[in-house]
Amino acid sequence: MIKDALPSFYVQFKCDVDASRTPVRRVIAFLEKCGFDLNECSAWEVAIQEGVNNAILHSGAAEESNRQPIAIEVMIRPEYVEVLVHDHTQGFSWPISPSLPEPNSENGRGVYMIQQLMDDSDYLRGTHSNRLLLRKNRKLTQALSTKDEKWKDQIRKFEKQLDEADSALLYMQEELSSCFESLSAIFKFGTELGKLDDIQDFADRLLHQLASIMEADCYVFRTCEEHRRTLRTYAKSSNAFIIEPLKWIPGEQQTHLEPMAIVNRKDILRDTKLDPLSPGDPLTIFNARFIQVHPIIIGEELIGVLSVGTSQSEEPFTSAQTNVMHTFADFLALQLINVSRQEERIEYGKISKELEIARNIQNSLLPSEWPETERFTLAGECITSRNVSGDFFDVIHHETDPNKVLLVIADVMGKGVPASIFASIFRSLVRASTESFTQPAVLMQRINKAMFHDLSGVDMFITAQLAFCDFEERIMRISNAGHCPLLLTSRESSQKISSFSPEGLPLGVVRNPEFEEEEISMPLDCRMLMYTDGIVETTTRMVGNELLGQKRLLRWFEDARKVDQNADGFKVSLKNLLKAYNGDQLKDDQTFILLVENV
Amino acid sequence: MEFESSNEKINIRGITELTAANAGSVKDEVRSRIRPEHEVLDIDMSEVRILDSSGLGTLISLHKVMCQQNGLVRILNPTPIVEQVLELTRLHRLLEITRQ
Repeated sequence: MIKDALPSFYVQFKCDVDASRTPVRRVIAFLEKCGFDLNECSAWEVAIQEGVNNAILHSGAAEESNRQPIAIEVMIRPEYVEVLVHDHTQGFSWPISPSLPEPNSENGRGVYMIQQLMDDSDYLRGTHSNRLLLRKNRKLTQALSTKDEKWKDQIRKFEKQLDEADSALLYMQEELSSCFESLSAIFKFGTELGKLDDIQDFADRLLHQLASIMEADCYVFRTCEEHRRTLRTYAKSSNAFIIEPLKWIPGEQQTHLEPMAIVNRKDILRDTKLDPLSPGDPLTIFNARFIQVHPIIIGEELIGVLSVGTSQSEEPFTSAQTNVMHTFADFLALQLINVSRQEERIEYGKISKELEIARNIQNSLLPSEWPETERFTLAGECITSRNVSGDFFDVIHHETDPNKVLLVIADVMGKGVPASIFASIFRSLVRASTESFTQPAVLMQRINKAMFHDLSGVDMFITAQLAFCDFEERIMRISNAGHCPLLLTSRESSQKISSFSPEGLPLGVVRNPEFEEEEISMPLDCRMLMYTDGIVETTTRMVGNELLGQKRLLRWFEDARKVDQNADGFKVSLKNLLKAYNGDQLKDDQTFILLVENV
Repeated sequence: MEFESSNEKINIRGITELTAANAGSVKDEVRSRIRPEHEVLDIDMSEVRILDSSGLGTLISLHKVMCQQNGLVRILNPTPIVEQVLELTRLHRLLEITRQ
């Protein structure tokens, strides 16, 4: 284009008032060299300096070292001179019709002076960079006749309009081109998402494409791990780049570009020729002239950091290129998050399946058949708050005598898988100790001895209750290891509810504890309840302004015992009671055994 | 920057630029030299190649100091650009321009 053949000038410098004078003077020296007279140059110097001052004054609270450079671009046209001041600050609102402040005011004249000194000025405020446009028509040295003047004015007007349209088109073309490249690349990569099985390869190809669009020759992409204090290198443009994982301490002064961008949560564009990297900065390996560092933040969460460098270009990345970089980095970060969540979902699915199997196994360990005599019926239930339970109950038949059974109920401290493992061990030990079938206290001691080491090793314990029942002799022998009391009464209304809780510490607390054993007679039409603490301690719904506690359970037992029903009937009644008091989410397992005699 | 002071007058010379880069230091330096008995502050601007809005702020600040002690600021022999800036911001009505 013709524009390329015309004189132009570009200078970039630190965003600092003191550092701005020399480059501005260099611009003026260039204008002088192009033949502009002293008055024109003086006006330009004031206007450009005002523009630069504004950019620096609006660079915000960023520390000087974090400010990105300012650039001045000069283009000489036959009819006018155009100067662009590029900055990467937060910018400011450009007044359409600035007015002068009160005469005694010491500031507020800058924009007014620019507009008075220039023929045209405009301020384009962008997301990541701003552009101040200054334009001044050139003086015509040739005398013109009045008639010619009229036509030439008209021609100049058209030429100016054409030139403006040309500039606008160029700018739009650049923006559209970058948007098109971004979109087409993202669509291209987006189609792969459904069949994405190698995210690393995907990241490599995406970043390679980005480097091509940005005309960059090196990049490194790092992701956060270990509580967001370490950056691991995820992808890099060259295998020759040996880059150690990056660690940083928040609150400390950061001198390297990547942690600086992360801590300030802002992009950094560094011209290493003007402002060399600090010693030891890992990005020194780029050996690049311009380096753009972009911290990737999704929501409030830091995902990683992408750094791109170019060693061949003499000009920094354009706003359009930077925008593409942001789009690609955010897109890649979202894919990484998606893949990570997908892996978590798969893992969760596996665990759920395994827990389902564990639950089925555990359910199969619970009694499926209850012994029934002519008079006595038994029932029980284990309602679990999770997939697997720490509660356990069992009924063990005597090998030869159907009138003798051992009732077992236990509650392992805690819930879930660890508790369920101990519950299963407990069951196996009870079932393996049939020689102590009729002596619950002895059996309890044996179990404690067998499990003490394992339980105390993980600071866990089990509460348990064993009740040997002889339906013929009508006696029960009870042993208790820190468990809820056994409730016993009869259908006869004059009979009170008795609770039995022989002395005994929970299993796993002491190596050789003593367990008391209590023998009791079974009343006629007896009703017996063994239960775990989840029944009276963890209900969450109030009924009639109260939660289900020990008192309410006793009231239910008091009412239910009078009904002529077998153990299954009691079970339905108790489950209805629990249903009324349990909220949506069970806090603990709930287990009970019922023994009912119907004469 | 050079200073010449008499009982009633203080004269400043040698300023070549008055911009955001040095406006603050010039203001502080000149203010520290003004004595209560000074009635006139002459600022020689014959060598000034650039005067920006921060420089104007300094001139207005010094004008206010002199007004407080019933004195005045005179701009001596301004260069064309200084004169142009003072006129387009209408500060030539506030600060006296003198040619010697």
